[in-house]
Amino acid sequence: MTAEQGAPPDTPRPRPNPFAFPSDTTFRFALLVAAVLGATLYVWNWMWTALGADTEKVNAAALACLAEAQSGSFVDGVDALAIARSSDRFSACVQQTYRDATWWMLGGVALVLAVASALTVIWPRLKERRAGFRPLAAEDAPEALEALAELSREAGLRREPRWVWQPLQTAATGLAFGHPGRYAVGLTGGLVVRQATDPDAFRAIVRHELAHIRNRDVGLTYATLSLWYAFLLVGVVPFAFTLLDEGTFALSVTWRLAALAALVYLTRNAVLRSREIYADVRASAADGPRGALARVVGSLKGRSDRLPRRLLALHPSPERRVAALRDTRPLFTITALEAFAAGLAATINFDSVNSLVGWYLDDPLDVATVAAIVFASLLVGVVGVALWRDGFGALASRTPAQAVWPIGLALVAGLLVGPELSLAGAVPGDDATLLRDLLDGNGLLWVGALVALVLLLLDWIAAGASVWLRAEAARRARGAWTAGLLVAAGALTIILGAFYTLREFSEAIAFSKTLTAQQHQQVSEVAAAGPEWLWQFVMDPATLLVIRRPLIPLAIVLLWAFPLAVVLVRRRQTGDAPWAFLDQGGRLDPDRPHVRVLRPIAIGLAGGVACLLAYVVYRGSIHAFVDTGTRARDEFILTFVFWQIVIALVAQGVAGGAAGVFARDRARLAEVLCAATVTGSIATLGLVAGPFAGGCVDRVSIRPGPCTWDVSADFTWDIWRQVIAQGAVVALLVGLVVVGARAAIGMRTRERAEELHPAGAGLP
Amino acid sequence: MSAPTIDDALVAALARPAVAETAPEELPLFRATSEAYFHDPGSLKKKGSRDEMLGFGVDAAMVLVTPIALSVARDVLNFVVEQVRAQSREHGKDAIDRLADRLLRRSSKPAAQPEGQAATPAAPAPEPEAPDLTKEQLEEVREFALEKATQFELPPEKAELLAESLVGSLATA
Repeated sequence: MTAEQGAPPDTPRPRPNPFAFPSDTTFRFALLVAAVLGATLYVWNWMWTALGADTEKVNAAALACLAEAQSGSFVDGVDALAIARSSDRFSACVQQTYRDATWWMLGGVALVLAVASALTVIWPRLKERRAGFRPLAAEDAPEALEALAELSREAGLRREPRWVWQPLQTAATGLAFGHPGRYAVGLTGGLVVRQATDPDAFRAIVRHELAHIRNRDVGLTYATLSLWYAFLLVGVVPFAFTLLDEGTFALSVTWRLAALAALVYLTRNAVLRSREIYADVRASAADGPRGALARVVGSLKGRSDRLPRRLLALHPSPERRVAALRDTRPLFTITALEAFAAGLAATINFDSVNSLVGWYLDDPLDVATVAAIVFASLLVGVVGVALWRDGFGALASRTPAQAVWPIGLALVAGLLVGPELSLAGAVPGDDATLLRDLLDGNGLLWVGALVALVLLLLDWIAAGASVWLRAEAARRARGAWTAGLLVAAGALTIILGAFYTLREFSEAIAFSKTLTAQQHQQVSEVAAAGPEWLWQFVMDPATLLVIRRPLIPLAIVLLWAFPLAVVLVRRRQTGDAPWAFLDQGGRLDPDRPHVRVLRPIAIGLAGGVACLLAYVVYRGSIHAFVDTGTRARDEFILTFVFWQIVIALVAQGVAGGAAGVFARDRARLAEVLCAATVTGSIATLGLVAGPFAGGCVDRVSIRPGPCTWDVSADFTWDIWRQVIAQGAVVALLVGLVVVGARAAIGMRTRERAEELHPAGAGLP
Repeated sequence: MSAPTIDDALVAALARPAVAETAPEELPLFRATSEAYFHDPGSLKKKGSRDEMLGFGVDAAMVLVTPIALSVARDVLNFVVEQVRAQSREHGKDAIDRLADRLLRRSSKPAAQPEGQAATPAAPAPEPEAPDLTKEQLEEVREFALEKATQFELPPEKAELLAESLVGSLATA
């Protein structure tokens, strides 16, 4: 049980404290900053092309790179590795040619940041002058000044803000502005008079403004806006001059800039609206949800709460604000629109960052991964933090957590639309965006994969939050949410990096698949090689290139280890949790999560042992039934390795499915992955130990060899990474089917129980 | 209507008693408010509550009377000057100055003088009488003041009180 117990029914329930967790709105601002800086990179890359580049020199250098690559391709022939090396040399050569552009891009970013810093300092002064604010002196209103000093101390501010006022403003309102180190609160004449006529209302309004400072809204808001205006000033204005004679391209760039402006403007307003509610909530902590603040907010002039007015407003309607004062639960959720905007902001200028990183790194997967670090981290900062907050809100208010799938779908929609609006998209090219592919009917599988990956990751975040928050109960789970979000950011970085690389090189992958199909046909003539799709899945070199990245198995291990680590929480602390509620009397007594770690490990061990037995049987059968000549052929060895990997994957699928059957809590898929990893690790051991075993025991030998361990560490490492990554995919698929089937059976059982014993039946 | 220059001290002298009667709680702020008003009289018109970034919200209530009283007092004095100017042929060219002197003497209190503005010194010697406003003229002034106060969206009862108070000051000046 959670929250207050034994309270009379008419006592308002303590409100969950929205400040107990970091806010996702800060990351939404940060995402805007990243999007604007991404646009700056593009603009200054263009400026280099238009103004800074010696076109003749660059063209000559690029042609030289091309000539060198072409001459190399004759030597390389059809050797895939040689082609890859040649491609790397060509990339490095081109990168060298365009290296100057990076200085322009980075210089542009530095310039924008410098101007933004200057604007952040100047802006409050301009605002003060424009609004006609003057310092509130002791001789003007000594009692008001005394009350203000006391409120500043109450708000816990390190430094009292400057108090300024505009005596001619007849309405009673306030305004926080300034920058860190020089905050100011502007009061109207109407508000200062209220200090005498309605001190409670005066205090409520001032507390709201001080809450903006305490919540760090002021610095963040002005810094973000300053950055936007700096971008317009030293990015868009010079850019516009270079576009004057560009015709259609200029038009294409203009509407994309307009889209970016709309994104910045609407997101800023949305974030500001939510920050207003946060300021209200903090201000209400002193006098409760039904104090003077609710009265004053309720008396504010109402505005239309319909679209598009609602999107343009800087404050939510008074009704919403009053409702949020009474029930803070909505502050712990994220809307689909917010998730969409986050996805959009993350990809709208991803290409520009990708280009910049591309000048320094050769491997396209490394390039995409490094570029994705920034955006994936911020995305997790928005959506991941929101899911943790929601988990806490659900626990503290005893309400259901929000569904993950609408957020996931909205996020993916944002990820798809972002590239359509990117400045880089203004240059017509051969690369179709994923959205265009989808609309053409070609990208369904890609989009399906992206949706599945994002949904799984969001579900993982929500599950991790659920089990950890219940395990920590009345203790703050700072370490848990920090670790959980870091793992999620890492996983999303890998997902986005791998996804965009695979998309970008889809033609090369198609070529690789053709070669793999030929290989399958070739080996099928010597030994059974199974269906081609299975061969492609296990043996395709392009797929292996991606899934054998060292970070992938690490991410998989962390993805199951983090939720299952709740078993390490031995001493739970339940009961009073003053930090978790705004009002007195809040308690956190959730049930202990039913997470088991030994069970999936045991299932994994059993799966591994079964796999080892299968290897022995398989080797013995081959030794007995296949002649030595066939066994000596490379094609046969290839199929032999292939089938061993398939056996490992099947064992992992079965182990994962079994773990899914027994798992009882929200983190079921973590148990599935854990079992699959253990099975896969043992299977890898069995696979690489096979030649040694065959050398020592003739009955299981494939090729005659010594009874010594001579398998290279590199080979072992490669096989382990492959088995863990592919086994995770198989186990997840099986696990999802099992978990889905269990949910369906559970639902039917509940329905049947309802039919047999309808609610209330038998009651007097 | 032409806009003759009215002495700020005169405006403050007429507005202060009106504020004392309509919104006495604002008297401690009268000096600072009138100072701000005289510094930029036009700013009152553009100072409505707006949906400001990191503000509190749009306040519908009109809390402050002083700036409105000052503005209405200025308009009323302009109106009266027009009226008196018409009578100046009968009472001499100094009629307006004498009316101003009477108003200032009546409400000459230290707080009524905006800083940096010297009050017109009280004349020790008896002077020729300034023209008294007729009952009809005072009613006309009241209507005018009420209309101006209403334009500032002052609540009707406050607007009424302000207009009455201003007329009272003029009548007893």
